[in-house]
Amino acid sequence: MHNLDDIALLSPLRKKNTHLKMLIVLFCIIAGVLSPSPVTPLFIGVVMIFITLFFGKVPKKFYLKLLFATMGFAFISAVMIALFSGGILGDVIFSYKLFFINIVLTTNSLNHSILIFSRAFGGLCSIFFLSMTTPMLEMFSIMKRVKFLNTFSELVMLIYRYIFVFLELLINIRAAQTMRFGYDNTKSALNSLSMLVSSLFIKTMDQGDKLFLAMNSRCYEGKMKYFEPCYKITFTDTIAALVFVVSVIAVFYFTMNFRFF
Amino acid sequence: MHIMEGMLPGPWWEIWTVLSLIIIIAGIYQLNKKVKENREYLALLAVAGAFIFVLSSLKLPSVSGSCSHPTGTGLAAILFGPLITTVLGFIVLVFQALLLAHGGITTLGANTFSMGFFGPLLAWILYIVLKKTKINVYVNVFIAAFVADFATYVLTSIQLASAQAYAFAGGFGGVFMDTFINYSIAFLGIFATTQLPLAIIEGLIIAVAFKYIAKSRGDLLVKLGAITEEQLESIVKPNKEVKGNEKIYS
Repeated sequence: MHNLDDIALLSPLRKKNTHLKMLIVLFCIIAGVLSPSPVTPLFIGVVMIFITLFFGKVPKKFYLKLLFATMGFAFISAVMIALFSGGILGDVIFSYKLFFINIVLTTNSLNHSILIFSRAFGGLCSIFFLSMTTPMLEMFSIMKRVKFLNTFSELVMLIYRYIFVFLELLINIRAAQTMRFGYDNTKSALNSLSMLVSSLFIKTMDQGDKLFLAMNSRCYEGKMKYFEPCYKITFTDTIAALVFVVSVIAVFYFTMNFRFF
Repeated sequence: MHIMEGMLPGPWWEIWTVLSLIIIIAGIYQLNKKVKENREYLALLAVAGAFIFVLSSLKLPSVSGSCSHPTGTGLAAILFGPLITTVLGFIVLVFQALLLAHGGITTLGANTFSMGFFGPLLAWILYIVLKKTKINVYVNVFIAAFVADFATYVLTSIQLASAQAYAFAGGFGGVFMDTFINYSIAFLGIFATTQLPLAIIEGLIIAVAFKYIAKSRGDLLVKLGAITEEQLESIVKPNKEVKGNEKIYS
């Protein structure tokens, strides 16, 4: 499993202001989705890859492998969107009748699928930037400001902590089952998976009891204290962020009517 | 598979986000109330959320050769009800988007609605209704888990189809309906062939897992209100020999 949080904890960009990073990423994602041309999301994606790889010092091989694996799914969806529109609008480039479905590629559907693909690309690169430079707990500390969300944010932090505990448990049980030929054929694989799920569930529930006991014995009163590092926004950060935002808006404005076909 | 970042254009991601937000806020309200009543509940929900995440990172053997994962929300819906499951599903989806690059931020609303709310709601209703009939508990759990998984993917394909058709036709008029039907057939066709066997496998795994849980720690299930005491007794039949001995000794 690729865990992006490990990279974030070691990233040189971690020491930049968390809120600034989150705002920029939110801006990028929304600009990408609102853009009617594929150029803006592509521009955002390329800039984000550059920042993550060169300033964030993320291992290039790891990053590209993850990007290609995820974009593979986006590519399949984009192909489906291009081929199954029914071909009512635009000039027909290619058409084929399969049983009762018309597979038609038109200029309109092709343009639309390119747009969707580029949006997925831009959004994914922005998310990668955020999750590879900002540790999860720092991101969620923002929720503690709202009283309504106090219980919710504690739930988030606890879930986050327990994910890794149970993941290790899962890996260990699975290894033990595999060593005893638990996944030899389909039938035993089904049985092993069920046993895995049930023992995981029982262990988790027991852990829940222990957690409650541990929290109570440490005087838990409905509020947990976490260390919250505060990073200042420097002058250069502000300038860099402003330049980026302005250039995205400029690209958005000038390429609004651009289409590939 | 969740809807990826950027796949939902136009007003659709906003619509789904608003819809999900309403449900999530209702869920958080219920959560706050329950935690106030009994603080033990928070610890329980925390481990349950982590359980769903770990379950959804489990790779299932798939017929088509590709790998897919269980949604894991069926079991949570049976145990905690649909509203709390929506909150848990939302948290799990945020972690999936940020930690594993599964799903996205603008599509979070749509994904929460399908995986966190719609599937679990159907599963929960079915489970409650079927619980009152004399149907076998394991069959009931199988149906609930199967429905939670499959309904999620049916709604996901309809969400995708409606959003793409809307963007393609430029509104609800004109060729919207034709494009929508075409996309729905395509997405549903692909999901049905790849997801139906997976939903069955997930249902089987959850049902058998439920059996193991009931046999070894049935008290947990009774405590959470998933099954009643009588049901537990009827599932876990006491050993006949022991029963006979008891009679002799008494």
